[in-house]
Amino acid sequence: MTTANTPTAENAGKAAHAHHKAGEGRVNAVKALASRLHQHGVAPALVLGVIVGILALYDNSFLASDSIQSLLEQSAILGLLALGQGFVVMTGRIDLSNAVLASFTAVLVAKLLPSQGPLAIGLVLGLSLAIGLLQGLVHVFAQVPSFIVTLGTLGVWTGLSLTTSKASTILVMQHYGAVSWIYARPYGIPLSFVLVLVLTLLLMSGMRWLRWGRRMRAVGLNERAAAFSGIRTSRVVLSAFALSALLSGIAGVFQIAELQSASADSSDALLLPAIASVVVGGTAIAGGVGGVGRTLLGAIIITVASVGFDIVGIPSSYQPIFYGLFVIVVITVTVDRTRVTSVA
Amino acid sequence: MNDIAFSVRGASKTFGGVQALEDVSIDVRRREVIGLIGENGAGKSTLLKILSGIHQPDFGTVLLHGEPVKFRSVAHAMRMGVAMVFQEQSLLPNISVAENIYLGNEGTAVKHGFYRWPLLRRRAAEKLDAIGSQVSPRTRTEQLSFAKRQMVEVAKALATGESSHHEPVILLDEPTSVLEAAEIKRLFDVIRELKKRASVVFVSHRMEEVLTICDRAYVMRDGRCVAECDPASVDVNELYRLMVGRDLTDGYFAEDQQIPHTGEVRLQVSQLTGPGFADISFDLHAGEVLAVVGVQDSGRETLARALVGAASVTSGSVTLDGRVVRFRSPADAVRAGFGYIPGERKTDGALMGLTVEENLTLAHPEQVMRGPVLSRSLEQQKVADWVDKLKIKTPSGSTPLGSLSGGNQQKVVLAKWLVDPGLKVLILDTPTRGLDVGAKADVYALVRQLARAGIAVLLLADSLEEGIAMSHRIVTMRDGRISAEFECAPGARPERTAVLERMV
Repeated sequence: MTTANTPTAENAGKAAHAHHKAGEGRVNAVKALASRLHQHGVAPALVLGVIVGILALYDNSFLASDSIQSLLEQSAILGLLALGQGFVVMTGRIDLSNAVLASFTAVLVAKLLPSQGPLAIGLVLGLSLAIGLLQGLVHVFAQVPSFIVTLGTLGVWTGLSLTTSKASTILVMQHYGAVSWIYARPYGIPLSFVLVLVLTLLLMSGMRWLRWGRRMRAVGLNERAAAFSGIRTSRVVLSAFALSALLSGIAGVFQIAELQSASADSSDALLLPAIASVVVGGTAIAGGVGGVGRTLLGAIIITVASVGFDIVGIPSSYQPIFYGLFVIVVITVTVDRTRVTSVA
Repeated sequence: MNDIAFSVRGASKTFGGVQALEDVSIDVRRREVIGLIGENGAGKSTLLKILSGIHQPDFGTVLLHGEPVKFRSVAHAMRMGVAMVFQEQSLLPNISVAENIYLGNEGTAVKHGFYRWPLLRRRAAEKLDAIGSQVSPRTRTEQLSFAKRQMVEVAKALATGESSHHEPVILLDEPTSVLEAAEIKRLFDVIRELKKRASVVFVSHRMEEVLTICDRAYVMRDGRCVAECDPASVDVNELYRLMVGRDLTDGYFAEDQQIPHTGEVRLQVSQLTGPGFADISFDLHAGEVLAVVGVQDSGRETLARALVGAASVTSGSVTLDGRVVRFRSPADAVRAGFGYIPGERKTDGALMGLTVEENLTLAHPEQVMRGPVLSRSLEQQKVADWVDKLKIKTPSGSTPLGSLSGGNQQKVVLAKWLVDPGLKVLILDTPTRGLDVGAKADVYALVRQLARAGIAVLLLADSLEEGIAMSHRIVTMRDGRISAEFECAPGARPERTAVLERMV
């Protein structure tokens, strides 16, 4: 967003200031601060800071570079899926198939690497992109709700990864070097996370500097008005689905790099955490409001929390309860409710 | 003074640095109809929200029957006997009228969690009778027209007043803005009935209405109450001066600004047919304003949408500057130099969650791009120019559009098309609907200016007067077809009745 320094803004500001009474000025300053916190994704960053602080108090070794490294590494795949989901949610839709698609693409990479070598990665990423476009096309042109389309394809990709892998784990022996570098840690820096970070920065600049980003938000806020403004809304929606599936493909590649193997359901469990990352980051589930960088922050928060429950010593059977409550509480802090209209 | 039912003393309120209300005091006496009039952004909505419990004033007090009160919510205000009839109706469509009237206020009509239907319906019928409405309490609410639903809203407001032992105060927020002439007359009858058992606050920006129905009126401007007047002793011109703070220089419709168009045909529509309209043919010249008038369902909205590719066309052709065009979506039309302002500003025209800047450059981002990227500095500068030129009142370019007043929102929606130097045809679907007089006059002046600059304007007029006064030519539509055409020039405008005759 921009700082208010246009000439007209200054004039209006001065005019308003002249009327100000001291108390009101302070109230407004607080409100302006709150809205700024939401605008720049500061709220999820603060939440992350607080959680890390608490965990550091419980366990001094939490802040050791070793555990930070593995934590960031762990958040990479979740981050990729959350970024993709973030775009789809931004347009007011949902992609329920992205996690199983990551499992499926991982199986494909594992299958193809020995014969194709590094080319396998290109092939699989190309296929993911095509899959995303296909899902988007069905949604847009057959007018089937995205929830239904992706619920259906969730079944399709699950089945395909089961049959392709014959329901057993595939170990990658040949050409593992083509992907293993992703999880290297040169000078102790987890490369996997750095890659995700670079990708995030690229997508953030796309959202900010390309008209595509603004159109994405416009479609999420009000598709009719966006269409009447001359935006080809179906293309915008297609781009979100394509991006989501492409990022699933990349997540699949990452997963092979991390585990050196693939099984039919290796990433399936990440569907809900990825959605949680998106909303914890402050993207509104109804679309239009949110961002890219904050979604990555959301993914880190979710990862830290799951590690954190162990550090704090919550028994694993109780963790889902705390996890659920945690997500709800965090969302009340990070979602900008000033944009939500209510009557009373 | 014992007969004062409800009053506000020295109320002030600011939103995000903008003083919406400053030191406003009003009194509402028992069985009195108070008018609250002012332009959009004058503070009447804010005042109403304070009266109805949606907002609390930053300073000042609200007194109900002489006692200071602090409404915690709309529900709380309703329990105290202050009920609001919202502009956007608050009835649930899928339940009966009786249920709606007593929703949240069922009292003894609910026993052990179950409705006592006969009692509920009888009470609802009493309330509907009290305002002279013919609606049956059993009707499903969604089957009613807007005007009838509004009657139900009034009955509901009356019903909520029962829970307090005083006579209720009923707040009507711009109740006439989407009503037709006959319906407005009905509403006024209802208000006269209401007056026998309640106090009424009537908010409007239509001067004639306030003069007709109110016992006393407060005029608001720039967040202050600038005058209290007696409708019997004040006229429209005086009221306009109080509301807008200046006299009309060019006249309301800026008719002096109309110049003859150059004569070259910009848009040629021939035998255009589609669902909702048939055999439409007309020429639209550069610099011409062509008004289309018609009753509801005359097909003119669909025609406008079809022209920009948002509704389907089955036969006929559209020619732009001599070349046949066929738009499959508004995006095609926009690229060809069309601009379209939809009739529903709030849902179709404005993107409330985007900023003023983002809305303004949404249709033509290429105007603020350097190479493939958006340039923030270029955008801020361009937008500041337009904000200045159109006198758009906004704290800054980065303010969400939703927090501007209706008139200023509409100016932004218009400016969205004006940033394009290649704009050729502007299709305006009731661009002044819901705007206050000052903003309307601004929009009229702007349309004149655009026509002088050679843009072809197709105007779906909000009222017959607007259509006749604003256009070079007027066509009437009836049942999806063009029924007549009239030449219009300053000093030689067609008779109102002659045009009306061809509409119905």
